[in-house]
Amino acid sequence: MFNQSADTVTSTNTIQSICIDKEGLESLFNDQYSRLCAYAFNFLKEDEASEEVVQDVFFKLWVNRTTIQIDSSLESYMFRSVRNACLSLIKHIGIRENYKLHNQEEISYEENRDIDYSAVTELEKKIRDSIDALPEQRRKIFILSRYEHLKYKEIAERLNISVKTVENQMGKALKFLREELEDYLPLILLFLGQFFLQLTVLA
Amino acid sequence: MTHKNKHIDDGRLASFLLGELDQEEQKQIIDWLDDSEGNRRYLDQLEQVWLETGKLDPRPISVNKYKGWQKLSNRIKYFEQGESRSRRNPATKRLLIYTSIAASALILIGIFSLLKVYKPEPQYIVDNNKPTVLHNTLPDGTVVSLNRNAQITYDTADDNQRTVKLQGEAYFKVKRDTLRPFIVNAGIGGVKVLGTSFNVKIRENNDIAVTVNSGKVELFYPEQNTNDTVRMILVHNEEALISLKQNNIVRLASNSSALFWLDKRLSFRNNSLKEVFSALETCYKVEIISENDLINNLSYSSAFIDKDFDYIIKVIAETLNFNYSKNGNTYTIEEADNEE
Repeated sequence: MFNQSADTVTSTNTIQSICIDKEGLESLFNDQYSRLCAYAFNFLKEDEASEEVVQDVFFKLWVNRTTIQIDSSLESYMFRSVRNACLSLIKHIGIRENYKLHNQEEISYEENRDIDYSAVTELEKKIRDSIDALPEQRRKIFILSRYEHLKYKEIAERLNISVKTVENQMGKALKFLREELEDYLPLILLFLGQFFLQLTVLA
Repeated sequence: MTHKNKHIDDGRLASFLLGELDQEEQKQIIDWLDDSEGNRRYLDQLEQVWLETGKLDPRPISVNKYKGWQKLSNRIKYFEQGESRSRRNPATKRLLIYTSIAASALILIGIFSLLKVYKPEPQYIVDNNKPTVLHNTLPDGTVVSLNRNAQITYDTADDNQRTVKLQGEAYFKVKRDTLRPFIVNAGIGGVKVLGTSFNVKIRENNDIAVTVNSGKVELFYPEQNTNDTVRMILVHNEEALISLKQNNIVRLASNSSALFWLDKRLSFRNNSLKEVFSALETCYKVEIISENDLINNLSYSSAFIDKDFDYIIKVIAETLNFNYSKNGNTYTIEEADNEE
């Protein structure tokens, strides 16, 4: 869609309007939705609100598609929009007073940080897509375990299921992800193998 | 991968990787690993998957991409329908008014079929498994706040009424729509309203406690023996219980802290201080020692939203003129020093 080299972005920014049709929107949505939600969560710490914000950004993109002028890739425009929407939500509406008080530092850090989240490796995209493809319950369990670092017992309590179910679901999730990522595993293992080899040599 | 040992499945391996197994169980896995090179490689791969997924930044949250897209495209569709209607120029608009009077029946049918075509998915589910209160706006504009572990299912397929199934406790601020009543089905009975705000709490024993914050609601309960529906109208600040044991709807003394879970809301109306203290003790997890009956029997009316305990006790003490001392979480109420 937008292939600009890094130096065009930093030096002479070309301003252009975006040109997107319904199919383009859908494929952008499929590619970026869960990453943008994850990004919004960084700020809002709340699943529901994060999705709302991202929904809104997509909606506004579509409604204003003929008037929006951007000087970067559409992807980084989306990330910027989500960030701004989150920050203004926190600042002006103050939906999370406590969050605001306790995380002022984090917010200003996030404000100043300029990581380009829009760039993504093929492996990362594949992992995210695979997680998205897990059935609802299994995905919830996996995410609580992997990213909220909850113990089986805590997950079981939170979702009102048995510890055994959590174990089964985690097993199925890992198995599924292994199958999905199979093509990438030899590569990862190769690097790991070399690493061990070096260690042996050093020893 | 060979599974000599029946107990070793993916779930067990996952537990092993996550450190969820005790020593004995770990030993079983290690034995299993020693069985074959294949077993070892399999576990290595699972571990690699575990490690790789951990590198994602920003870390993923659980989203349903398919539902998300449905929601967005519905919103766009509704928006664009509105756009195409308002974009007509004035002349066509005038013409349209005349023709529309003549053919209003036809247009109605047209709109009706449009609605049929663009109907969003029939169920809208909000589920709160967080310790915090979750606020959400339903497709009809009603704002709902869910207490922890509450879930509602909104049936969007029904054109005649808005129906919500509730589990747990929730507060509703219903968008007024006199043509389509809003009905909360809460198990053994329910609440029917047109536009108001109220709280519904399903208790452990399935009884349903309803508190009305504004407006008017109608409670309904199918009586067990006759299957006749018992109804009761509740208005502003009233509370009632739909009770299976009493097989009826009974009025309750209004509970000053029914909405405390929502936004730390307390509303006292001619409550004795004794009642006020007891409500505060439960809500703020403090201990209040008050042995003076003269003070305990004073009557108090006021409302607080989102205030901390020290603020509230200070306000009450100033209003009713008593002293108090604080020691950790224990507050002792004393008579005011009279200076006259």
